[in-house]
Amino acid sequence: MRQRTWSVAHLPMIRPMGIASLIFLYLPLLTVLIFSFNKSEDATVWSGFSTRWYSTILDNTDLIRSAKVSLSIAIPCAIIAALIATGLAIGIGKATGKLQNILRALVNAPLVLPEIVTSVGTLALFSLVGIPLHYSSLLFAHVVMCVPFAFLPIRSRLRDFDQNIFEAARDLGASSVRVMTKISVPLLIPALLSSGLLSFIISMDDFLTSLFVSGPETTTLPIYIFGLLKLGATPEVNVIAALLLIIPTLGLLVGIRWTTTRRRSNEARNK
Amino acid sequence: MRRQSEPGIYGPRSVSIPAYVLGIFLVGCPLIVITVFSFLQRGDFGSGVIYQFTLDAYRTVFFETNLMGVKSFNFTYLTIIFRSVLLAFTVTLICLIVGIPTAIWIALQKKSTQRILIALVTIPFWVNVLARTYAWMLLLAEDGLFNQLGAPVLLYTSWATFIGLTYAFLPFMVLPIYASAEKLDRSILEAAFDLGASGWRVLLRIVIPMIKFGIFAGVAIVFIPALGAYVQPALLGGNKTMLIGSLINDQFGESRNWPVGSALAVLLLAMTGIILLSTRKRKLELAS
Amino acid sequence: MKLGISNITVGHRKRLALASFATAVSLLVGIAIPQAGAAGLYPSKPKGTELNLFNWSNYIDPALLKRFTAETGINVNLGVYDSNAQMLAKLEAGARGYDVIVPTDYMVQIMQKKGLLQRIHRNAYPNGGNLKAEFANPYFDRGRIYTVPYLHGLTGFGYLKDKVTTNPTTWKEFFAAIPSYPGKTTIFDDKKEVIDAALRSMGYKPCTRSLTQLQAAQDLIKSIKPNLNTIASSGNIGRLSGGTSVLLMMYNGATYKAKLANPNVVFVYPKDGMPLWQDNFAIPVGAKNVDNAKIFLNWMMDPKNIAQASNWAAYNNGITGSEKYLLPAMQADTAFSPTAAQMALGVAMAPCSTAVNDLYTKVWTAFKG
Repeated sequence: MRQRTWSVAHLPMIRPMGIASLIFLYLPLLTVLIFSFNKSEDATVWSGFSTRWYSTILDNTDLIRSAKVSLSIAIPCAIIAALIATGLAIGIGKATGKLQNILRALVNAPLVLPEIVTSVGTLALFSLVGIPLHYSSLLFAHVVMCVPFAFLPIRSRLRDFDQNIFEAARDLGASSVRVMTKISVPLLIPALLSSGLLSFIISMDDFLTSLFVSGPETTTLPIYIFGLLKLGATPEVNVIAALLLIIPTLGLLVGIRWTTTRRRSNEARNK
Repeated sequence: MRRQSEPGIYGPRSVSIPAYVLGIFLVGCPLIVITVFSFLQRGDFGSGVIYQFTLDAYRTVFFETNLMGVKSFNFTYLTIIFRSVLLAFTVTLICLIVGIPTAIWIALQKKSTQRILIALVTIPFWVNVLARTYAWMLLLAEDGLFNQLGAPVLLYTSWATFIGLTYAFLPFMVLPIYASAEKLDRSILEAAFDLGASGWRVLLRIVIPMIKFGIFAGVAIVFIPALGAYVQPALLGGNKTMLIGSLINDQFGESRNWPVGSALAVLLLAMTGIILLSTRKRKLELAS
Repeated sequence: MKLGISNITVGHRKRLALASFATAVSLLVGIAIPQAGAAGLYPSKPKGTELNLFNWSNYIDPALLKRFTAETGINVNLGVYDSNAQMLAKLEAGARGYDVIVPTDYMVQIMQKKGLLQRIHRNAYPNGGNLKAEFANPYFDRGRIYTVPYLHGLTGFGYLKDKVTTNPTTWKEFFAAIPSYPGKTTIFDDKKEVIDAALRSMGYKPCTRSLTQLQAAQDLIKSIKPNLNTIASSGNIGRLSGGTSVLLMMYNGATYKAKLANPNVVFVYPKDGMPLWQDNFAIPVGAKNVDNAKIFLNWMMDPKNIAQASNWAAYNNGITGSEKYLLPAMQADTAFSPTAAQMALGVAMAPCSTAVNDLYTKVWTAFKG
């Protein structure tokens, strides 16, 4: 009797579906990437390789201005959200109080609520209280959206640590402030970076909340691009979309590489 | 005394106050405000609100006095809501059909391959949603790649909206399922297989039940945003049919009827609550 | 001041004296400010270097804004919108700090009634008198207290003559032709424009209160909906010249631009009437850089500058003396310059009453579904 060795291929539809979904995920992205180097004036018909549309982008002052606006929101947003999320993760500890559960659910609500609801709600609140739609109102709307995301890596990192360290410190009489400054925060620094990165990307990406809460000086990159997209496919938009694809991907790859090499060197040092 | 269960183990409890303040004022308050607005009267010239209690907004959503003055159920809004639910449902279903095998496939690879594949699934999620939507505009347009290959022009139809949404949310489905499929015990699958179970039987009787938590999580995180989607219908659907997201946007913008917009948002919120509760309840039932 | 005095009792003479002194001072200052302002109703130099312009998307030549910055040292931050209602919604929701906005005729009236516009003191501007007579005293802003004209145009329809062979000349023929080109037609995403056109096509008047007429309009637009490629107010130039749609509701200037890309493009001034719309520059309440806004308004009333705007957008303007800077080929084309007879078909449109507007919303929602 022939020995039947088991492999994934024995489960029906698993491999073809898996491969098909990767193709499905990458076909559009690759198309945009390729067509951003199209020579033609026609966005969708290939006529030869050229980088001419990339150079036109640099002259687009509106694009550059809106990108600057987005950065001016996303960078502080990332820092504030990461700090607030750290505070949340440290402060709640292992608490299970009813009030704290409700409060935590509120903080985490942007993760699960449809963005259209939270964004019109924020708009209605601002107009009710008379808060002008300005830089800081948009910034805080973004921070609220990012905090629950920023919280995730920090929380899981805290949980991953040997809980005995914290308990030992408390038992030895360290004040909670001392535990925080000497143990929790130093341990959290790598997680803070990924929280910040996550918040940065979410803020850079956000369209709906920005659409409702933006004011005169805060036309963000996604709002500007949405306006362009309504005009349909153009060579210029091909390039913008390609850049929106390339930049975060490169950032992500560099980030992954950096953390793995760091981890490796740390491990090497420990040996 | 064991301090393990004591709150504040990582530091003082007060440092979480900023997050709570933010949660109360910028998550809680907006939800309360729209709920209140939905029971108020529309303002003069049709914008803002007047502080007077009325059920007009909900009446507008559910009933209508047609042009001839006859009162009846308002099928216009109900149809829009129904259409949104149907679309979100279909998108979730397709994401399930594609996402479950993908997640299992990834989870059954070597660890190093798994890491690469998961990164590949995650990358599209990091790319701006507008760029991803645009990619489909490019593919589905007249003279777009698909049309050049002989497919009909799908841009500015409901099909395009459907494809765009499925594309946007597929990673959301794959990731939580993968998280639970990762823990799959290969030896159980091998044992079942050795005992002569067919591939389908292993899949349906063993694998799927083992990853159901991931599936519930995936369903909630795909269905909810799909229900309130705005970008894909606006850009890919050609603005021809309304969905609840575009309807709310329209009431707060173009039509300037904040109470009706708020009422619709409250309805959407209620639907979200039902979905969250039901998926969570299923989880609890199964866990016990 | 009256209020202040009535609140003060006799026993508080001292305080009264102080109060009247304070009042006197504030009055002096108060008078001094407008006086300084009267001389300075038009600023002698920019204040700061910023200007927040909130304009329709794709509606002003970027090169023109660059030249404005070069000549005045004022940077223009451009925010864009796609409809008057969207702009109004933004301002009403509390967006403050836009310095110049571009409302269309009827919206000027609405915004002025809501107290959202400030007086611009046009007469103090060096170029303040450069208005064509027919644009100096419009129904929505008698005497131009709140606005100066930007561009104006007419809403008709465009088609490709190699594809559409029936030569439609009226809205009636426009709607009748749509079913012959399934998936190849476009109308605006604008309830007023679309419902008005539908009413006109049946010989009815826009803003009608007649429910049977509105019902007929609703039936008409619902019947053509399956044949539409898009319901869109932007992106139509490319749609027409590229042939994605062959028959579209269009503005004259946009059609002229499409014609430059595709010679088969034809613009029609429908014989059953059409709206003449006029866009205007205005300064909203809450503007941060009012002086710079005035400098911008004045600068845009210079014939050479406004002509550049016209040349780029392909819509005519309301400034005298700009004709000699307009592109000759454009000026010769009827899509840019309608004949007197065509111009006479255009009607400046006042907004419908709120009641009728609500009926329009019902028709539109039923249509969009």
